Amino acid sequence: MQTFRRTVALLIFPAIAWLGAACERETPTEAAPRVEATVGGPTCNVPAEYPTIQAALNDAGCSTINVAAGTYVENDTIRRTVTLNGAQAGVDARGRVASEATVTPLVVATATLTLQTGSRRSIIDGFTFLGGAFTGPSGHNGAIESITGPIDSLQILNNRIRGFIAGSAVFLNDNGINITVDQNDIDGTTKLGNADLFHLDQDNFDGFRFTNNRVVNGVTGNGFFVDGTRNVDKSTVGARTPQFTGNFIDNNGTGVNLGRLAWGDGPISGNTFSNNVFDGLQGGPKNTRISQNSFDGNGRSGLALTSFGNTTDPARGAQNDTITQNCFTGNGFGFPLLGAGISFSATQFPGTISSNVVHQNNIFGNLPGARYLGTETINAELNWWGSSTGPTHPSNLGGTGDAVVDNGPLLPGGIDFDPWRTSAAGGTPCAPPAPPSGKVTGGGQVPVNTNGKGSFGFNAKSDGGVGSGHLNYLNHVTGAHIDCTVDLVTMLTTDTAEFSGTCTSNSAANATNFTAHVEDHATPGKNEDVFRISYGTVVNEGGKLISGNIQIH
Amino acid sequence: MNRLGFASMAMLGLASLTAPAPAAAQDAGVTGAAEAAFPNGTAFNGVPLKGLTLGQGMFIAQDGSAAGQFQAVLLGTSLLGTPQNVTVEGEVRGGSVGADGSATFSGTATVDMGDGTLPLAGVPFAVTVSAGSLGLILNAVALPTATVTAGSITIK
Repeated sequence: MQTFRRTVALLIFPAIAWLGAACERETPTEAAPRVEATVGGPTCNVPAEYPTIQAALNDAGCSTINVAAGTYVENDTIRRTVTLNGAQAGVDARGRVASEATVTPLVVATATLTLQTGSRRSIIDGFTFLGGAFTGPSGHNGAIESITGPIDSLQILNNRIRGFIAGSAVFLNDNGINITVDQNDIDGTTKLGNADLFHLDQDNFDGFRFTNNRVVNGVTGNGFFVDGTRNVDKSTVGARTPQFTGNFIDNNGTGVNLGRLAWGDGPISGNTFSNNVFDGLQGGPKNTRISQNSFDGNGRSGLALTSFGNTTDPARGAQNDTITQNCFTGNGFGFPLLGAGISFSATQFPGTISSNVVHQNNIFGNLPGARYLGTETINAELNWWGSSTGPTHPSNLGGTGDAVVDNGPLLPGGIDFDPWRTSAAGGTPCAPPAPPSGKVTGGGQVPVNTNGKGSFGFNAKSDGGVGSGHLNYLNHVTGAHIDCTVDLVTMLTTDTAEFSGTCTSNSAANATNFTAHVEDHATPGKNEDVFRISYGTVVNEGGKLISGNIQIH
Repeated sequence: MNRLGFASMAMLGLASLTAPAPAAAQDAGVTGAAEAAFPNGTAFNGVPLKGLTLGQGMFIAQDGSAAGQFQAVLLGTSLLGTPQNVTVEGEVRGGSVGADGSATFSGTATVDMGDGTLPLAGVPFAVTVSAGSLGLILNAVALPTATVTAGSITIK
């Protein structure tokens, strides 16, 4: 019967294809009509022609299998290259509400869809994989699982995976280069046990791309996990540059665990790592640009660069990475003595952790902003720490931004945060919260130099985040004088304001811009209110008022 | 009546005379950090003055109200020939900006004569400033106009 079906298909398919092409020519602005093939392929329909998905998979003539909306209770296996289209093929799974082709495992402890040797270049697109309790010997079986390979160029696209109570959503355990996982929605709300929602084992996954996925609610494990020896990079001939981009990783135990030395040579960008119990992203990537990600509200660290304690292997741990234009906010509050917005391991092979650089990030509202308790020097210059005064640190008197925790300045090494940005970095996925509307005015004198005085007068206003105003300042000792326009009010609370702008000045000041930090604690402000100003090469001049007052209205 | 001879009622009258409605739709701003020199012979409460330093910042609304600070140190010499600096710390409550680019504002201040006596609070003051000069009326005593010698005053 199958042979007959194939023969008919071979005769009919060219005619259908020609008709489709003709229609396309007549209506070039419309999409090509979907080819509805007959039994035997190359395009096969479930359940119209095959009662089960596996039945179509078993027919080697079915190179494309379209599965209509409905529920399919079966455990399927792919042993050849095939395109397996669910009812929502091509439709982004994230937040999707539609008629689904839902596949539920008949044997709940066995993978819903198993990949075996021969399945390379297969595409799995537009399904809902629902339910299961994937408790294999390792305890990490998944709704989609490979058990033999290779699985090169596999594509897992636009699938919803949810409702399983044990194991992983996806567990890939065989070599496969250039695998693509895009626009899937993986929800571990019902999962028990410590399995990862998405698991790559130690096989070769060079050229792997994990893009635009939603991986959420795996609170008892990792949202994404990979471990191996640079087994996700581009070192294999024919492998692409790996990517981890555009994903939303939220409310997992650890958001993403990249292992001791698994990831390399590919960007990690445009992701959100949020509200994970431990770290948002942890591990030892190499030669990786980590950019434009949002690390928000993770219990321990937003980003933890680490070898997981190995100090003897120079290949392990984070090295030669560039961390730039990211936002680190609200991290560390679950583990106040351990976490940070970004943390650097003190237990990597000597010389490796300091090969990472951190520039042009916005780091504010964390507990603390950064942490490193080793003896190397981490280059973390030119970041915004939430205040124009820079981070809070023993060597930065007057700094009120996020704290930097290291061994400095008493011991060698630490986090080199100076110079810092005096306003938020651009090109990031976030901006500091807009200051509320309000005004601040002040006039008076502050101590400068030794026993000298500086006079200041200013008005500054924030109106829906738009700053305006003016500032005049005169150092009576040096004669430095600046006459400035307020362009930006970066913080305005009930007792503190920070503002900055552009200046004209005399030669003694030689400044084209300024930043000011003011505090309103009493009226009058003598010995209570604070005025500090930075201009030209002068940093944080001033202090508590000798006379005068500052008023935040 | 203290030795400064308060004349609050007179100052209130002065303030009302110097508070015309400005034409600008938005708040005007007055700021300054400067040094200024008095003409020879200037004195306040018997203290000869040679100049002052000032720091001021305020917003002036079109309805004549204002909010901000005026701080000045009047640089004087005591009868013994030693420096005696009079410190004025004022809260600005009203003001206006004139068509000529000057601004006038007023309020009450705390005045420390710098002679060891207790500072006096609630002293009325009024100030007229331009980019290069400052006229101070302190407790109904109009001091000669001081000329800015360093720093700047901004009205916009």
